[in-house]
Amino acid sequence: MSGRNGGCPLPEAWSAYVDRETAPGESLALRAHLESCPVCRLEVRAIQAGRKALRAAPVPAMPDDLRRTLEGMAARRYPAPPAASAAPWGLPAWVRFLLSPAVLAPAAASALLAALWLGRREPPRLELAAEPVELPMELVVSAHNRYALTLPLAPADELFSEPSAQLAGGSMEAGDVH
Amino acid sequence: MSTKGSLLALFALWLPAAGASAAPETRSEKRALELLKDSLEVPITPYEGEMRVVTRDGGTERSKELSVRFFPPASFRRVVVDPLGVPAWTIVSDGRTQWAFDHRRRTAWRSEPADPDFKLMDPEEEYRLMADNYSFRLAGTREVADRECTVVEVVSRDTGRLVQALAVDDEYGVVLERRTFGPDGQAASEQRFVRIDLPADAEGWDFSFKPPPGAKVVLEPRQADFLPAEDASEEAGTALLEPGWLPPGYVFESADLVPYRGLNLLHYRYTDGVDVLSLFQCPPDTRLAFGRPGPAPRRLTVAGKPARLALLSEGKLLEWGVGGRFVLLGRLGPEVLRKVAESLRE
Amino acid sequence: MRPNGQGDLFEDFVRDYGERAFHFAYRLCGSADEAKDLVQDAYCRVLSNWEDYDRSRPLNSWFFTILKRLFLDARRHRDACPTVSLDEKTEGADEPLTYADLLPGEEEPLLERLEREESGDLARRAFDRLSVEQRAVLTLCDVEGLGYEAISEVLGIPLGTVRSRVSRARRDLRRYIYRMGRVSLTPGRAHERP
Repeated sequence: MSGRNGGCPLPEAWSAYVDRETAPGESLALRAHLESCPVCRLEVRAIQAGRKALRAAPVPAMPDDLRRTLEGMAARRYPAPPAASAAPWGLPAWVRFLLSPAVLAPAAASALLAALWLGRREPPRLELAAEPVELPMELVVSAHNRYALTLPLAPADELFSEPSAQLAGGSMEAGDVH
Repeated sequence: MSTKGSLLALFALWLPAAGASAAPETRSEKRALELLKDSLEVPITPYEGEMRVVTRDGGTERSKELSVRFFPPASFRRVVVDPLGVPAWTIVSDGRTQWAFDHRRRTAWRSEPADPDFKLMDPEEEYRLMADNYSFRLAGTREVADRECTVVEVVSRDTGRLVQALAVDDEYGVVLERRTFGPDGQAASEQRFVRIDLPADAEGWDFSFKPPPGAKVVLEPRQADFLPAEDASEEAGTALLEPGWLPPGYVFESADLVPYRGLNLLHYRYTDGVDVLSLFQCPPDTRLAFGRPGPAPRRLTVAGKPARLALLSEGKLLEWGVGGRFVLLGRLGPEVLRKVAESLRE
Repeated sequence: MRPNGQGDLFEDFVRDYGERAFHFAYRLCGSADEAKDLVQDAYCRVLSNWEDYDRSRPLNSWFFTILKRLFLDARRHRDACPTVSLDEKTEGADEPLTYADLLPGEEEPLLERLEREESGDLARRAFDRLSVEQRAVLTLCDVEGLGYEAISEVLGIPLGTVRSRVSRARRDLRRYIYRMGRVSLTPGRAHERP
């Protein structure tokens, strides 16, 4: 187990140790280190305190209307068979049929699913634009740089993010470097 | 900028090689190795200075000057100045939100830097990929910004050519100079501190930014995604076209959807551990706005269809269309990019 | 009584996991209304594939599917999710954190105070400053109690990355707790890894 700062394990190791996600050999070594290092004992306590505080943080109860909506999804998708004596006396058979859950439920389900579907936020999809759309160079360059700057040997601290075309500015007629 | 710590494992790979290859001055070489190890960690000390950045394209050299302030772990302010010393760009970050302000166009871009922790390739895999494709060697000492530095060189295993050379401050482990090299062995770019206060007195430093009145503000509130290819395809609702051929050492890392005015660009990222190759799959009725600002592109063909090629700091950019618009961007030669482009398949 | 077991099974799924799904969505975006929309969308998508459900697999595998959908949708709609803007002044939150702030012996009393706090209010306010991705890993790990392998499946990231993300999110949370409540981080080291 490599260490920094006088041989103490990395904070990541303690985080995994608290989660019981360390390999057996690693756990033994960490436990042995804890016995003699008050600094790391505090680190472990701090992680545990943070976990406990997070679990204690209040969250609202699930709203009743959401629960009913979710439960209703199953009921509409898989309706129960109609009850034998559900129809009131005196109604003609064709009315009793229209009022039966077998007819009402699919109609309601369709309406519900349509409402849910229309209300969903769809992610934008690749679509044909009505006219050609000009994409700014910065769009692709910044997307490229955002990832490139995360690599270990990227010039992270010194690299500036701006449309690099302003820097390069040269003409290809001078000949390619590569 | 936090995942560099795993490079500690990498040192186990080349420490023995470094020791065996030369007649070391044991104490100073050991010290240099320790400094390089520290250089890949985030500096713990604030610094301030001036830098010069140069790119070379054949016989053409372009440069810019910038002032830099850095406060750990991730706050910085960089001001790019024109030849008269007047600010042209200001880039400020407090580690969570980044502003880039173009003084001439009076436009401010606000974004969040991509968090390296959310990449699909974890740090160990990334360093293994880098070590698979590159070797590292010590290359003497050098003075940069009046400070003694040790030079570490990065060499491609595939071509044997020098790719990068870093000059690392002997005392604080900060990288004071970084040079990249083209396939002809000539320097392609340089970033060097010409003056640096290390450590610096950070009293009164401010990393907040407020766009000036009347400035246009462009918000990029979304974080970059790091999606597996199949998730990106599902989100985009379209089939992916992927290269059938990649340059040696490059592998797929992740994909992202880049939104623009209701459209989505699919962005695939490939890396060899040091460099990045980006492939963008754009909707058919789109085109890149070359030359505004920037150089006019060179015209060529890809798979018999018209294409455009431009040189940027990030490398070469190739745009072409075969049933859709595509863009490649990376530090590779035009023929390599053309080969990647022509290998695209569903 | 349903004509087949699928409806009963889905109802069980709603009953057993609905509240947990809502709480997860709420922690991601901080808004009950937003969480409601996210959960409805997620369940709707799951229901459309419910006939493919293999009853030999445990229900919580579908729960993981719900969590993954919630995470992806919350991240995509993060603009609608309330986050703390840089312009908002949170008392003490923006004071520069220096390594010299913590004096020897200062740490333990401050940690004891955090351990004694019962309401979790300070932790919740600090949690609100984290990114969606950080909230997701901490909720899955510390609240849902998922192991790293399960988190890897839900978020679609490698196992090694789960370990580092959880650690970083915890450090950032503690940093905000410190700034907001003057409850300190662990004692200063020569290097503080971000």
